[in-house]
Amino acid sequence: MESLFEDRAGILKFFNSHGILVSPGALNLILQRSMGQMIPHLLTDEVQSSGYIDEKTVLRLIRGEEKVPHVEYEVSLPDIRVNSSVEDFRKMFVSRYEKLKKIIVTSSTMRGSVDIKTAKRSQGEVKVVGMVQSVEVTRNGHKKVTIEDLEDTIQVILMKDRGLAGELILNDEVIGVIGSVGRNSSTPVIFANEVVRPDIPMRVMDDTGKPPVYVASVSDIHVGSKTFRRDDFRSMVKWISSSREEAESLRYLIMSGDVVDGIGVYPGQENDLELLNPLEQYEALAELVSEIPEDITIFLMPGNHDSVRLAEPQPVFSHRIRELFPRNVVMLPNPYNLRLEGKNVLIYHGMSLNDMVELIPGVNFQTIGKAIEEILKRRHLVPSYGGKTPLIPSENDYHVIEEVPDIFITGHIHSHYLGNYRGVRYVNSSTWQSQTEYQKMMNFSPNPSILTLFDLNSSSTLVKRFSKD
Amino acid sequence: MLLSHHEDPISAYRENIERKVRECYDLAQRARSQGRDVTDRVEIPLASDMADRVEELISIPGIAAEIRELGEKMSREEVAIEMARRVASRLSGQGTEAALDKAVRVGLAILTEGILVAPLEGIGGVYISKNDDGSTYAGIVYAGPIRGAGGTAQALSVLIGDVVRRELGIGRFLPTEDEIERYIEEVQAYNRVKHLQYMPTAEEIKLVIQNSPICIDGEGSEEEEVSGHRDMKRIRTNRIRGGMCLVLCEGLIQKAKKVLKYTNALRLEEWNFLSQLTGKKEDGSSEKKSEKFLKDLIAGRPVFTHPGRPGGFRLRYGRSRVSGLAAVSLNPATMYVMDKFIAIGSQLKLEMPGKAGAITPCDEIDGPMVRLSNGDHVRIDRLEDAKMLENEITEITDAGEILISYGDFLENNHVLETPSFTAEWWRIYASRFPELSKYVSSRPGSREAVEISVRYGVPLHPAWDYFWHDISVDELRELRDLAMASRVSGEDALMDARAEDTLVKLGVEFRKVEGGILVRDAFALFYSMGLRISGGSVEKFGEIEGKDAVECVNRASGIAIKPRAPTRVGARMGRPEKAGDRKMKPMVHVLFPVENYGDTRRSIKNAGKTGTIKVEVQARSCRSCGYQGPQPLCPECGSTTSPVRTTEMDVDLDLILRRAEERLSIDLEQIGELKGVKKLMSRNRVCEPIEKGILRAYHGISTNKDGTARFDMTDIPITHFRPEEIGVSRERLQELGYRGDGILELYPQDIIIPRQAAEYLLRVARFVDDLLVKYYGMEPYYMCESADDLIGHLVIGLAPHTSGGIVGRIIGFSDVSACYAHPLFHAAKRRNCDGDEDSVMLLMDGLLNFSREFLPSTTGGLMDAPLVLTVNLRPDEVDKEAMNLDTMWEYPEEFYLAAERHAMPSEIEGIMKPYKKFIAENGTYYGIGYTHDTRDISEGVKVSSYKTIESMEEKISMQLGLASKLRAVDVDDVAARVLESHFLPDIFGNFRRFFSQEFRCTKCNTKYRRVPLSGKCLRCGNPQLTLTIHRGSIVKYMDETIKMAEKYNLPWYLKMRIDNLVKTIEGTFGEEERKEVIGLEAYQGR
Repeated sequence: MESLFEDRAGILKFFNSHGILVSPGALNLILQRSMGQMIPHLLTDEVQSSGYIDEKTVLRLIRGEEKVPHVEYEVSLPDIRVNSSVEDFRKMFVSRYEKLKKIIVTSSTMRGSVDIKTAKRSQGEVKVVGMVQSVEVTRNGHKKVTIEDLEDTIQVILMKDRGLAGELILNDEVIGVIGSVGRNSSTPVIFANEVVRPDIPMRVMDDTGKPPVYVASVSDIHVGSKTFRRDDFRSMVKWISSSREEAESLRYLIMSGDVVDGIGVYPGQENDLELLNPLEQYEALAELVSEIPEDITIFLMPGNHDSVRLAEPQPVFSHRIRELFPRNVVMLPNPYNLRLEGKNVLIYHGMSLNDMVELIPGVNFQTIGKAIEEILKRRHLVPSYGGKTPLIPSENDYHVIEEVPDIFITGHIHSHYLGNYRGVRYVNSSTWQSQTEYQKMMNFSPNPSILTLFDLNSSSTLVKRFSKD
Repeated sequence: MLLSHHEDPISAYRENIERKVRECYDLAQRARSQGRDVTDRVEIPLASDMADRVEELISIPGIAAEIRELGEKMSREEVAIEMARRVASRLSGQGTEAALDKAVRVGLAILTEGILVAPLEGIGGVYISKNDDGSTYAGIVYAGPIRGAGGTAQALSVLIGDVVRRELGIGRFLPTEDEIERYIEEVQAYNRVKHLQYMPTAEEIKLVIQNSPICIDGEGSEEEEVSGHRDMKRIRTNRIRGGMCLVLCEGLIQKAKKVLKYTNALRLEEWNFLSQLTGKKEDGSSEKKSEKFLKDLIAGRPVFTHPGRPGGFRLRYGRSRVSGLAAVSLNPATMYVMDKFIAIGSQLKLEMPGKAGAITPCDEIDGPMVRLSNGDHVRIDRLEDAKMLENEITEITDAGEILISYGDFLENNHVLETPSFTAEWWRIYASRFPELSKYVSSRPGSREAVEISVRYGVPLHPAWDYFWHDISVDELRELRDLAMASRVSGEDALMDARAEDTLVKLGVEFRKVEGGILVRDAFALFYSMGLRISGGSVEKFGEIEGKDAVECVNRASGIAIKPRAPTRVGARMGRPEKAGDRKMKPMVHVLFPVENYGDTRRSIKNAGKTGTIKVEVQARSCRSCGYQGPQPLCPECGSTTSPVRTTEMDVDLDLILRRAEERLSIDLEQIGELKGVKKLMSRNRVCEPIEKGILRAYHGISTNKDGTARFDMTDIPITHFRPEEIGVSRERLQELGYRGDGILELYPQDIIIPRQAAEYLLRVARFVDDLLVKYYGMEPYYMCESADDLIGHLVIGLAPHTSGGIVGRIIGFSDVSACYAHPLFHAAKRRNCDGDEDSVMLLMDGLLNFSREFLPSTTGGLMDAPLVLTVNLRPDEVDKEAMNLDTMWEYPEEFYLAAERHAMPSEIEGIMKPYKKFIAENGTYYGIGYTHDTRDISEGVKVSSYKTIESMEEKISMQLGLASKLRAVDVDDVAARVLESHFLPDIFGNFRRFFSQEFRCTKCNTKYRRVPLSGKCLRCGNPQLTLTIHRGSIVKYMDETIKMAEKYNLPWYLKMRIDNLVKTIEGTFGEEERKEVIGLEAYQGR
C-alpha cells in the first residue's frame, strides 16, 4: 500500500478510486511532502463531498494534522484564569517570593539566612530574605525599607554613611539583607550592611568555534497602522531571503509582540489605521512573512496591541490567526523562555518597561538598557506591582526569570538598545512603525527598521538597518 | 425726598438691605464678643465694593481708597498694574520675594473683582532664582484654582509679575532648551488628562517660554508625571503642573491678542512676540463644530435633537422673564413629553449659541407635536394636555420651540442663525396697517390669514405657515395631487392616507379617520400649494415651480410664505437640576475630631462613652481655672478660654458633653446621631463648640467644612414676577419696597427660593435662634413660625471657586428645584445660568458660625468660603456676561433682517440695547423688559426623571426609548455614543485598575498597596482582606453592552472593538465561552 503513494500515478489512482479529482498543485504538494500513509487522511468529508482537492485544501489539512510543526519547539502554555480573589493575588506574590528566595539563598553570602520572626529575636548579624513592602527616605537621608516574608515584617534601615542609601530599592522586589538587629525603638529593625539581589551570575560565553547560527529579532511591527514601514520590512525580508552569508546562517526569527496595530487600543485609533479589521491586519502580516524562506523558523509573540487578552501572561494566538500563517511560524505566549540550540532565549514583549522608566531615576526610552539590566538584576520581568502592566494573579508567577537567559529580548517601547549584562546579551528590539502622533506628543523619536542578529555559537551580535530615511 | 424715592426705588432698596445687614452684624458681633467662639469677632468682613473686597482678601490695610481713586481715571486692568507696582515698592523693605508675591496677588485680585479665590490659592507662591549665567529671575508658581480667574486675568498676572520684577530690579528668565522641551511635553500630557480649551502647537509654547521674562511655574497638581523630561534642576516636580498649563495655554497663548493691547499701551516691547500668536482658531468644518455638544454623551442622559435635524428644537429668538444669561426657555409641555427628563433648572448641552443652558418655562412658545396611538398628529401647547396624553404618545415628530435670547448670541459671539417665522415678527409687518391692530392679541383664522396676506402683502401668519423647507419638491407635488383629490367639507379636508408622512414633516395637525386623514382648517395649507377651497371643491390656481418647496409655495400661492422654522438647535441632557442641603460625606454636625473612637460612623455620643479620647486639637486654656481642653468654654468652670498650642491631647469628651447638655438643657438621648469628623483639617486643628453640633443635630441640619449650613441650588434667572406665583401677598411685597400691580420687576438682590430650601432654612433659623438663646444667652432673632416668616430675611449667596459672598433677600418661594434670582445677583457670584449651582446660607448663620480657623489648610481650602461679604450689588462689578442681557420688550425688524443675513450679533448691538447700553443710556439697571411672558414660573416638570429613576439600566433604556420616539434623534448614534464614551471606557478602565488595585482590611479598613504575603492585616491581624475592585465592577456593563451591540445598528469598527474587549475580559476572567459575541466571528482573529 505504501509504495502506492510514492509516485504520481499511484496517488492519482488512489484519489480516482474515491471519485476525487486532484489539482496539479495539490499533486505536487503531496509528492513534495512525501506524505505516504498520511494520504488517506486527506479524504475528509469535505473533500469527498466536493469531489475535488486542491493545493489550498491540502495545505490546510496538513497544518491541521500538524498542530505542532516542529516538535522541538513545542510550546508549553500557561493556562491560567483569574478567580479574581485576594487569595489569587496573594498566591502570585508568594510564588514570586519563594522562587526568588530560592535563587537568593544559593548565594554563599546568604548562607544561614533565617526568617523574619527569628531575626527579630536574634542578636548580632542576621540574614533575611524579604519582599519589599514600602520604601521611604527618612529626614536624615537614610532609607527605610519595610520587607516581609510569609509571616512577618521588619524594617530595614539603609544608612547613608554606609553608602547604602543610594541603593535603588523597588516596591515588591525580593531582596536578601545582611545586617544587625537594633532594638533602640519598641520594634526591632535591621541596620543593613549589605543588600543581596538574586541577580545574574557572571558568565563568559565560550566560543565554540562552530559556524554561526543566527537568531534574529524584530518587534512592534504594527501591520495595519498607517505608519507601518512596509517598504523597510519588505527589504528586510528580501535581505533574509538573500544568499548573503549572514542571511544564510539565519535560522530563527523572533517577533516579540505588537505584530499588528490591533483595534481599540487607544481612543481614536481608527484614525491611525490603514486596515480596520484585525484579521486583515494579520493576513497582511502573514503575506509578508510567507516570503521568508521556509527553513527559517519564525516565532510570533503577542503584545498589548494584539488580538489576545491583554493581561499577562498572554496566550498564543488563536487558531483562526494561526492558520493564516505558513507552517514555519511558531506561536509563543508572552513572556516565554525559548530554548534554541541549547541556549536560553528569554522573550518578553515589555509592557513593564514603561513602568520601569518612571521608577528608575535617569532612565528614559533612549537609555532603556539600564531598565532592562535592573529587571535582570531582580530576576523579575515586572518587578513592581501597581503599574500599568496587568498581571493575571495565579499560583505560579510566570514573570520570575528562573533560568538565566543567554539572550534577553524585549520590545514595546520602539527604541533600539543592544547591551550585555554579566554575559547576558540583551536587546530592546527595533520597531517597524514610524513616529506616531502619540510619540510625537511624548517627544519620543523611535529608532525603527533594525534587525538584530545574535550568533548562538559565539558572543557576536550583528545589527542590520533597513531604514530608508 | 419722597419723589426721588419714587423715581429711584433702588436707593431705598439698598438702604433697606444695608440697614438689615448692619442689624445682623451688630447682633452677631455682640454674640461673638462673649468669647464663646474660637475667635471673638465676626469673621466675615463687609465690603461695599471691589476695592474693599481686595483689601480684605489680600490683607493690606488702606489700599481700598487708593484702588477707588485710581479706578476713577483708569481701566480695571490699568488699576491692577498700577496698584501692583505701588504695593511692590511699598513692601520692598520686607524682601523682594515678599513684595513680588503681594504685588502679583493684589493685581490679580483687582482683575477678578475681589471675589475669586484665585489671587489667594491660584498662586502657590513666587520665588527668585538664578539663571545659568548667574543673573536672577522671578518665577510665579501657579496652582489649580487659578482656573477660576479666566484666561485674560491669568495672562495679565504674568504681565503684572513682569512689570513688578522690573521695578524690583530682578532679571529675566532664561530657559534652557531642555526646559522648553519639558514645557511642551508637559502641556501635551496635561491636555490628555484634563483637556485644554486651546491646545497650542509646540512652536507656540516654545515662543512664549523662550520670550516670557517671568518663569511660568506651577505646583505639581496632577497625579500623572511627565515621562520624558524628569528630575530637572529648576523644575522641582515631575508631576504635571496644571496651573502652569492653564496660564500658558488658556491665558497667554489663547488671549495673546488681548494681552498685546496692554503691553502696547505700557510700551513693554519684550512682549511683542505675542503678535506672532494667533490665539484660538476654530478649524475643522462647521459640520464637526455643530456636533460638539454630543461629545462625551453620558449614559442615561438623552439626546433631544441631533444637530440641525428636522423635528428638533426650533430656534425662536427672545427672552422670557426667566431666561437670558445662558438660560433658555421651553414650553412646559415639551419638558413633559421628553419623558420628563427636562425639568426646570435642568441643564441642556446645546449646539448653539453657547455650550449649555439651564431650562426655564415659557408657555408662549410652541410646544411639541406628537403622533398618538390612534394615529392622530397633534400639537401640545399646554402642560395639562401633555399629562393627559402621556401614555398615548408614540412619536415626537417635532420638539417644539426653544427660546434663546439675542444676548446669549452676543455673549458667545455666535453668528445669528435664520430665525423662525413667529407671531412677534409677523406683528412687525402687520403693525404697518392700523386695520390689523386687532391681531396684536389674537391670531387670524386659516382663510382670514390668507386674505390678510393677499390684501396687505404681509407674509402668511405663522399659525398657518408650515415647515415647507423640510420637504422636497416631489413630496410637495405628491401632496398637492392628494390634496386635489381630497374631499372637502367647509374648510376641512379629508385626504388619502398616503399624505400622512408629508403632513407630519410639514407639522400639519390631523386626525386619523375612517377613509383617510382629516385636516381641519386646510384653507391656508391648500392655498399655499396653489389650491383654493371653495364651495366644497378644490380648484387649482397656481403651478408648482421652483428649486425648493419654499420657493414653490411662494410662487404657487402668490403670497409671501416665510420659512417657518429654518434653524433647529441640537440639544442633549447635561446635568439634572439640583436643590438640596449641603452634606459633607459623611455628614458632619460639628467640626470636632473623634478619630476612631466613634466607630466608622464618627459618632460623638459613642466616642463620649470612652470618656477620654486622644485627638489632635488646638488646646485652649481656661482663663480662670487653667483647665486645658479644646473648647472655647471651660467644661470645668464655664469661663472662657484662650488658645495655647496645637497638640495631641487627652480630651475628656464625656465631661464636655455633660456640660453641653446642662448648658443647652437638651438631653443627648433626645437627639439622634451626633456626628463629628475623624480629624480636623485646619492648620491649627481648631475645634467648634460642641454645643453648636448638638443644636444642629437637634434641628436636623449639618455643617460644611467652614461651620456654616448651606443649601445648594442650580442658578436660574428671573427679572419679573407675579406675586401669586411666588406665594407672597402684594401687601407684604409692598413692605419690601415693591410698588405697582400686575407683573413686578425684581430688585437685583432678591431671590425666590424653592419651598424645599425654605424648609431647610427654617430649620437653620430655629437653630440660630436656639444658639442665640441657649448658648449666647441673648434674644432670638428670626422667631420664624413657618417658612413664610423667612420672607424679607437675608442670606449670603456664595459660589464655588470664589471666596466673596453677596447679600441676598428672600422674597418668595417656587416649586422648582433651582434658585430664581436676578441675573445681576448670579453674575455678582461669578455665575451664569448654564446649569451651574451654588449655595445660600442664612446671614446670621454665616456671621455667627463661620471662622477661617476651620478651613482646611490644603490648596483649595479657602474656596467656597465667605471670606468677605458684599452688601450692595454694583452692576459695574459683576461678571461682564450680565451686561449682554437683553432688556427690550420686543425685537425690532432690524434684528430679524440681520439674523436672516447671518450677521454677527455685535453688528446690531446699538439697536438691541443689551444691559450695558441700557445702563449707559438710562443711568440705572432698573426698568428692563422681556419679550415673552409665562403663566407661572413653576409650571413644568419639577424633578427630572434622571433623578427619579434609580438604576442605570433603566435610565439607559429610557434614554434609548426616548431616542427612538424622537424624529430628530438617531437612536443608533445615541447607542454608539453611549457605548463609546461611557461603557467601553468604564469597562476598560476598571479592567486596567483591577490589576493594580489596592487591598483593604474588612475590619479596620487599612489599605494595602499590595496584599501582604501573610494574607493578614498587618495592623489588626484580621485574615479577611478584600479587593477594592472586584470582577463585578468590570463586567457590570458588559451584558448591557452586548445587548446594545446586538440591538442597534452600530458602526462596524465599534462592533469589533466591543468584541475585542469582551473577549479580552473573558479570556482573563474565564467566563464560559460565548459562542458568538455579536456576529463578528468571521472578521475577528479568534
